Amino acid sequence: MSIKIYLPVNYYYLNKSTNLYGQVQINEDNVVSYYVLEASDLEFSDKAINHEKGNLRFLGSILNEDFNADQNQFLKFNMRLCFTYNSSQANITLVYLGITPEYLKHIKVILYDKQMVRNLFVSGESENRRSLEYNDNDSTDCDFLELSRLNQPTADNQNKANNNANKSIQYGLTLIADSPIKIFEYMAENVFINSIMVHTTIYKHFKEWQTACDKRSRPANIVLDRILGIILMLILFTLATQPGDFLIQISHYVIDELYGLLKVLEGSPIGLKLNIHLNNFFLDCFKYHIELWSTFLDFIEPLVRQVFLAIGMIGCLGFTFQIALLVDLISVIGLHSHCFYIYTKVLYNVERRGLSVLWQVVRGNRYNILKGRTESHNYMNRQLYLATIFFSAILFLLPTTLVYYIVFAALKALTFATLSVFHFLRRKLMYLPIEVCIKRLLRGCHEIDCIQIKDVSHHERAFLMHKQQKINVTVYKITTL
Amino acid sequence: MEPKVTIHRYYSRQAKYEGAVEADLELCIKHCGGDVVRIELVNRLHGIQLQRKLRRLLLLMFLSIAYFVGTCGFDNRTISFLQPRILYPLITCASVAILLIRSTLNLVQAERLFYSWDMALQMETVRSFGRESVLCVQRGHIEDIVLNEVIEDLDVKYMLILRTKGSQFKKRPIIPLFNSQSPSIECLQHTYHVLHKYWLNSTKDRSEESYSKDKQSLVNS
Repeated sequence: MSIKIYLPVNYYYLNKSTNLYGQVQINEDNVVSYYVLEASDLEFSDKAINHEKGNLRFLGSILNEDFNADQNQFLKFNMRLCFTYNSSQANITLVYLGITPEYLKHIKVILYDKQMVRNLFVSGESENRRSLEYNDNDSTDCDFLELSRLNQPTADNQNKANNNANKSIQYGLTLIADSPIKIFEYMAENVFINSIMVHTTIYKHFKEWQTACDKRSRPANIVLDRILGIILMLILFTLATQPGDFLIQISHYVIDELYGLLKVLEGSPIGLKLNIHLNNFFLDCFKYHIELWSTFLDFIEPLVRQVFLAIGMIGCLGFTFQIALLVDLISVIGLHSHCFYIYTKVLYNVERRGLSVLWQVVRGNRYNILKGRTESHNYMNRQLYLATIFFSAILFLLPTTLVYYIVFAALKALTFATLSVFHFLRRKLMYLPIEVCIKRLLRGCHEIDCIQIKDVSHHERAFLMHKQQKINVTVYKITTL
Repeated sequence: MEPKVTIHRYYSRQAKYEGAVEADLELCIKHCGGDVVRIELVNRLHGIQLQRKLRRLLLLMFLSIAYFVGTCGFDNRTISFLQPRILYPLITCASVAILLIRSTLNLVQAERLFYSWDMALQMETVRSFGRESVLCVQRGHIEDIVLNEVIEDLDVKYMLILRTKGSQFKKRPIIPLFNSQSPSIECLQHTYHVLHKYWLNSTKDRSEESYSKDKQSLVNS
């Protein structure tokens, strides 16, 4: 059997009569743990001691050494613990224990700091899971977890009227805060709009955000997201005099940059001499696409001016929604460059495949499908003639196609990298444990694995007398690095 | 009851391989009465090792200063750090210095273990210049303490391993004890016997005493 008494440090050096309240826990291995949590001043005028204080139980008292009490006196007050203090010692001394079997040889008094114990947390777990963890078998024999749970501040339920008012106010605030997301949900779930928005990033992000919000796992992230979104929205509306023109100007800037890129390819890029006719064909085709896109932008410019205000209001939903919208805008603005990449990729693949096949023909080989191998074959002269012409044509056109493919593939890779960065930022902002970081910075949270148990030295050895038998009392202190 | 203290000296694995004459590890076991034990493994050669590391660091600093003074001279002309004869040696010296500082800070001075059957097992590592790191495994998370044989880099060594249980230690099912100083198997066996005795003796004694108490009550009734 083992007995442990968890006592706050400030109570250990108390020099006045006090009542102690807390909890008692007895494990299967006959380990008895007394958790002293709160204390109140002892008034001798009261005949009956208040045995209930909230959810806590009366454990014992801290009395003066002159108080000559015997077993009957302790039993009368239904005490489980009793400490005494005197002027010669700075700390209190244990003099009575409710459970003292004959084979008990050792009693442990563990001092702890209330604030430190409150700030304990388990690494890798959220704060909201602390209550659920109590049902787990892990906390059965884990005194520090139990101590941390018992020391958590409890909400007062005394003022019901104030609670009702607070609840109504909170309900109103929640309704106001959730109204933008409700409006967006109503718009997104529309049949006509849903068929278009399913493929957008902002819709996917909305689903992820809804899942995270339903789990109630990251409330601090949601609050920070909203605040940042509103701040950024206000900044954009303040700095940009003509918000609609801003988007149009960006689009035109992209078009001008693409024109510049094509102009570079028109000559001899990096000293490469490209095929003039194929190069002109590519340039005409791509310039026509860009001209078409520019015409489309001019056509929708009045519409963008009207819609941009609605797009800007996305900031009410959160900063992550703005990032998702930015991803969609980048995708739309870079749509033509994506088309260029697709065209050059298809053409490059066709030429590569053609070269690999015609190379075999020119060398007098063919691929036997039945036997699955390459074998020699006697081609007719006209077959070899045609193969040679096509092979030569494709081979000489390959550098031009390769250059265009590399350029637009690099552009596509750059765009994809940018989108990946935004995606990573959005995910990090949504799932970063901000609450734990804030607690660690402000309140100095400590992991429960870093608890340090130290001895508290005595100028004289402490013991408890019970039936002419000495029971050693050892005092420890819980600290953190 | 005064705590019972026993002191033993053992060789570390490196000392055995080097053929050292004196034992370099000192095992201090302090029985605090009841079910509490404090075990401390002290590196007796920590001071010498620290001096050696610091001397190497000072030698590196001296050589680097001599080289840069000799290269740059005492002229008043501007010196650019981007010159190859300055940049490459500077990077090399900085890298070697970082490695030396890191190895100096990682020297282990002592390892302290506090075990209480009804409370927790606490492992405390004291490194150079008094830096400490603490690991506390509560009573409900301790599964067993075993002495395990490990083969690493064609070398057979023994590790005292604490097996853990519970959701908090799913990612760390085993925790090595006294692993930083590479103690020999004799030291680990001694430590294992002491810890295992406390691990089993508490449960056994409590059960036997409870059974005796119940039996006596039954006889009386």
